[in-house]
Amino acid sequence: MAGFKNHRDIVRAHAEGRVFRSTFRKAPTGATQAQQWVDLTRHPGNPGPFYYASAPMTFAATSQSTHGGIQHGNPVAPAKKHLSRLAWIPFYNLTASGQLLDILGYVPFVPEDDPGTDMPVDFNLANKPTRWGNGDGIAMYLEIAAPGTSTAGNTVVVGYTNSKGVAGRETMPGYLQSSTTTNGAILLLSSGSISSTTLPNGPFFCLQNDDDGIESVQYVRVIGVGDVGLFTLVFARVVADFPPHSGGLTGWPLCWSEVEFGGKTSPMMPVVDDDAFLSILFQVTHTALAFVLGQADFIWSD
Amino acid sequence: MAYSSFDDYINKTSALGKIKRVKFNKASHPVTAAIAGEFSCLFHLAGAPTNGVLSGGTNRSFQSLCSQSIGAMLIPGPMTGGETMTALEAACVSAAPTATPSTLHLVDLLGYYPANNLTLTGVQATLQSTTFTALTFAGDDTILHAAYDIASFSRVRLTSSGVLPAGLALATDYWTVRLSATQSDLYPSFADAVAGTNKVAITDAGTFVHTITVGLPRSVTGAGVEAFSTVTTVLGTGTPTVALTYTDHAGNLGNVTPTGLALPTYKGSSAVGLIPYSGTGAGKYNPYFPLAAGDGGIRSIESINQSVTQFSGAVAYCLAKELASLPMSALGVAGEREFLSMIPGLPTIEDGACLAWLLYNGAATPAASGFIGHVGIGWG
Repeated sequence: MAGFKNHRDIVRAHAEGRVFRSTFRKAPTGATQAQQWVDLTRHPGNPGPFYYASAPMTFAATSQSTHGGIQHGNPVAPAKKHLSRLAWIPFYNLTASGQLLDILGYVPFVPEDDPGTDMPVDFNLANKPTRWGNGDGIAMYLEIAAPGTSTAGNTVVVGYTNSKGVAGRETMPGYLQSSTTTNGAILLLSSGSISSTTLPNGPFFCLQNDDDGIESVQYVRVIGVGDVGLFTLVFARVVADFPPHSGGLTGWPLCWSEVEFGGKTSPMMPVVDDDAFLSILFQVTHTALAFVLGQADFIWSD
Repeated sequence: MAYSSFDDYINKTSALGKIKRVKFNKASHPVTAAIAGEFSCLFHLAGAPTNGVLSGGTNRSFQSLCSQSIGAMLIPGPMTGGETMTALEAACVSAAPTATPSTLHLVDLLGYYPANNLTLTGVQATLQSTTFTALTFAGDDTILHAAYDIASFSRVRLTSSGVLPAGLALATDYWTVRLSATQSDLYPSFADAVAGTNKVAITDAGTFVHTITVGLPRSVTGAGVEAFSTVTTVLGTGTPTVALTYTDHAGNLGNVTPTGLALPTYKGSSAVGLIPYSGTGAGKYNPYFPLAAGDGGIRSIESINQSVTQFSGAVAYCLAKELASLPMSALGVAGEREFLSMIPGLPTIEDGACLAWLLYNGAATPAASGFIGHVGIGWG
């Protein structure tokens, strides 16, 4: 049976070198808005950028071996790999939150110029990566691929089949913030309301009722005013939260925030699937250009 | 107990994979800001999970809630192997300016009494039981309960002034599946009711009058269970005080929330989601109704005494067991809680729990403030 059975197994993994340390440093190429979530995948640094560029409106899978992402070592099957530690410092000392994602795939170049129309997605089930499984726990978000002029107030819904195989499901409307900001910025409103009837969704779409994941997607519909912008619909599982970083407080030291998984600070040891494409979703209380510097440690069973 | 040792914990969470990251993304009221010191119930407000329902069923009747209810967090289970679930960790972040500092309280919502006519004053009895008859036509195996719309997955017990219908037993828990407002099927366990397996066969009508009583679905004695009310339709301008008469966790009837204090006083025109007697000042409580001296919980609410009319609106009187709290101290910084190394340790999540959040607004929380986070759950 794969995985750790006791503490001795974990100590032995360290002694036998079944560990991997990865470093990363990503820097957005444009200013982010305060409180806006940003996908750092398409931004330069280490690992290098991946631009989600492939056939428009067609699902494409992502993997470490093909597309990169934060390195976590070679496949270990039939053993099991865990994330054991995360450490980071956002832009020297910004107050920030972040999530480590396994990005499983995407639908690129969703146009914004045909509001009210169900734009079909070419979603070939055979293209899904093995680690997609039945889709339990998979969430999706919408990010800017090419800025429009102004889409604030527009909404987007996505038609999908849930992880139980039930078709005809539709997300709650995702309310859009302005699309005039940095590429990679998450478009779903993450705080406050645009009007008295809008609600924040961000960063992820709220699925219908009791759905807990996505098997496939059928269409995307923009509601509102047409624009020239292009979106990318991204599918991901959250692997772990980055440790909170309370930068900006008086006297707060310029040190990294870190969390060890499976121990006192975070009891759960997140599983990292073989060939997972790891990237960072980042929210910062700042409007300036910000970079993220950090490390991730991995450990696997025998 | 989910784990017998730290090694056992590692084995179950790593080798056996018995963990789940249960996500949530809830929003405060879309229009009305909350005042510092007030509490809100996020269960029936928007987000993911979607808006729960606290207004269904017969007026002032007990309506059970569980993991299958709309709006409940998507926890694992039912645990058919008799395993125990625990919360291992929790985290939440808000991006809404002035939504912090605040504190989220994780509760198991056991059920509610919808109060849909707030112009009625004085003592209003609740409904927890009713008479029933058995439908014994071939293949029916169903009970009729005309005066009480019983929610699916309610834990019920049956009594009779004569003999219960054949196939049904006294002093035995059954779990309902609602067929209509007046009709339910019975199952021997919560897991069976969810799966639709092992439906109880009823082969005759029994004799004399039979009664069905709905009890707490979890925390069945009421130990540690507390009551709060929350607005389900925006309130009118009245400012009534409210007292509850309840059965305590030891089964003592007729306990009354204290009268020597300023009674919980509703705020006129309270918005949906608000706990209308929360806040600061006389007559404000945060967020639960105070109990009579010496009581350690509520098994059921017997009656609700509202002093004057509210003019309009509706509330739900909820029974809940608090499991954990999660302070959020700064804007944009996740509040985090881990339970493994804390005393008293891992909060138990009963099978079928309806997990939801109450929000203590430490600051003036603006309308439509988002709260995104997760609860890490393990079992074994």
